[in-house]
Amino acid sequence: MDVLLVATAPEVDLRLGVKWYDYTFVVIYFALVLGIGLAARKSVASSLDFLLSGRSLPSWVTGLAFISANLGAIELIGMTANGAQYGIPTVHYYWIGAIPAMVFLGIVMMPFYYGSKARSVPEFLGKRFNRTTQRVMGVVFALSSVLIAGVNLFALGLILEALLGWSLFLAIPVAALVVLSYTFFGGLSAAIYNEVLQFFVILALLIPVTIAGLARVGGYSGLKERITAAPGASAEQLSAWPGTSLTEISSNFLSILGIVFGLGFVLSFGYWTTNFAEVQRALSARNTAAARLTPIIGAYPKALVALVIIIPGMIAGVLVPQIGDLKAGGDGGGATYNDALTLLLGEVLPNGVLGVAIAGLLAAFMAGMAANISSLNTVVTYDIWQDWVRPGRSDGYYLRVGRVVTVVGSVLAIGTAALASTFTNLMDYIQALASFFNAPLFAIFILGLFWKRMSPTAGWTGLISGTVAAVTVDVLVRFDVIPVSNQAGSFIGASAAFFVGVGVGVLVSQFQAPKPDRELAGLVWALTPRQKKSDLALEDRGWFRSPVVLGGGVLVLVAVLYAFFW
Amino acid sequence: MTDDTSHSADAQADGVTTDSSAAATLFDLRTVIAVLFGTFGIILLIVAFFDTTQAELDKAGGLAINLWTGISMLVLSVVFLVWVKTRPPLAAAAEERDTTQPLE
Repeated sequence: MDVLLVATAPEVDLRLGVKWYDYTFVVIYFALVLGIGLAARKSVASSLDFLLSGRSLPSWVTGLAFISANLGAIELIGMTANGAQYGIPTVHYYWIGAIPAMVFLGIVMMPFYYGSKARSVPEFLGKRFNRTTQRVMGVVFALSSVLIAGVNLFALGLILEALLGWSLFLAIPVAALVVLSYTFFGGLSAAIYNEVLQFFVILALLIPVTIAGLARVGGYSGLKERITAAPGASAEQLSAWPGTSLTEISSNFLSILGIVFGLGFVLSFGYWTTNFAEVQRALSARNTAAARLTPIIGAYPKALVALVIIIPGMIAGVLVPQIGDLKAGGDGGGATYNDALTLLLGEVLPNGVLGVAIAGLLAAFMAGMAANISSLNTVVTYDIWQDWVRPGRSDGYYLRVGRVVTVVGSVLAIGTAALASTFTNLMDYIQALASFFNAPLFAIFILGLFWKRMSPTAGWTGLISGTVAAVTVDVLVRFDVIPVSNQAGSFIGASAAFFVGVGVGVLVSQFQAPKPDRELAGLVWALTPRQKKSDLALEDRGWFRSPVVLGGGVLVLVAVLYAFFW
Repeated sequence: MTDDTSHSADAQADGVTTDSSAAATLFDLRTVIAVLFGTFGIILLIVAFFDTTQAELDKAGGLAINLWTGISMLVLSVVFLVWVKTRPPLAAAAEERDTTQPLE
């Protein structure tokens, strides 16, 4: 069970030995980011521009933005924490917990999303089911966005605390202000441009720290030796299956099942195929072909970045005294696994690259929070405000609404950051949220896509019942009624949400007529014609641009990677 | 959807003016990336030559991290500049106007 620590005034000194010239990297990076925000402002003429970039971006940009929106501070801090705590099994979050779903999104689901001209996932649900479903999902999504933005803010606060010794009370509002400033002016375009930039800067953080760390421990074989020799070690740290240390399910079979079905299918598909922050980046592509390629292009770096995130986590467990202490069962002198990455930076990086690394961390924070705020914007402006609360106003009005939501969302995120600070491992919190919000949505989504008989009311009833199931499981796990780790609890909760959501959906559909076929054309599998080669623009043909070929390629890559770390 | 938004959606569906202006602004992104990493690379090389202590080298197991990272960044910067030169923004925008299929 988690011990609830409030991470405000740690006894361990997390401060990095920063020199004046380390700050130049941060300053240059910020200047560029704000500059992009202001430049993008000129191209923002309508609410569609502000919220969906006018649907005009090429696939390499949307692909990198797609992955970068997901590579926020949560990912970096949470996954290195997982790497330090669990070791190699953490790869499951990437190779089975992301890649297959991203491929599925690109090949199967993008044509529906993009073709429906829906501006958001709730709007898509509104077309498939009914207004009530759209509204329920809109509210639920807005809530989850604010919660997750708060986690990103909190993670940033940790970094600023380590860097400058600022208390979280100061660091968090300042951080919120920075993201606010460029999303306010430039909207989604500014967020996306910055995400591509952030992707490279984050790599400039991760690759040097991985190389430096590996050099210090004697390469990967040296790392393996030191992990096996450390107190509190177990062989499970070094191989991906059966991952029982991650799930705390003692039966190997059930552990594998939990990982493959709970994480690999429900949570993973639930997140990647329906999470609006991600889908929004693909919706901003210039045509269907580019939209389909977006998640698939993003899958390649996603598969490989796992290595430079998890290995540093493992190295931190060996090189950083406080983390080694935690692994041996001690209290780490007040540090938690969440501190693994920042402490490792101080441990292996010289001044210079350290400044780049700090800029990278700040970039990661901004990527995550900006993605949450921009998708919160779209959903609140279109699905809640325009379609429900105040319909029928001018587009300029909704553009202003979008900007107000940016500000309000950022302020609320400060509050939820305080809530996030009570969790010692951010990933536990995040996975729990995912099981509440993503899994039920995925259930009704997939049922509605492949079963045209699913009726409108089944949409929102399935959604709500699935959420209740996930929350129930979470409570049972926290009170040890179900004795598994918190993260396994999320896998189980997600599975429960899926089955309950589908079950209720099927049940309710028996009592109501389905929508007529003409209303469902293009929204369900059975009623959508397959896109033919001849429909593609000249520049989108070619085998190397085929989503199926590229998607297959990344699955092969994942199989190869798994073979190395079996 | 209201009439207002479907109107603006239709205006975007035409896509031509948005394509060229967005594309032009967009491809500046490659230049921005090149400038960012070029600057970072140079600063790192300066630090590597003037302010590296043995203690710092030991932290990274003997590797001169500042030096290598600086060089890699300059290489990346050059790669992006070459990309912008060989596929320049205006030509790319013109090509898109000719061959981009309207949104289905």
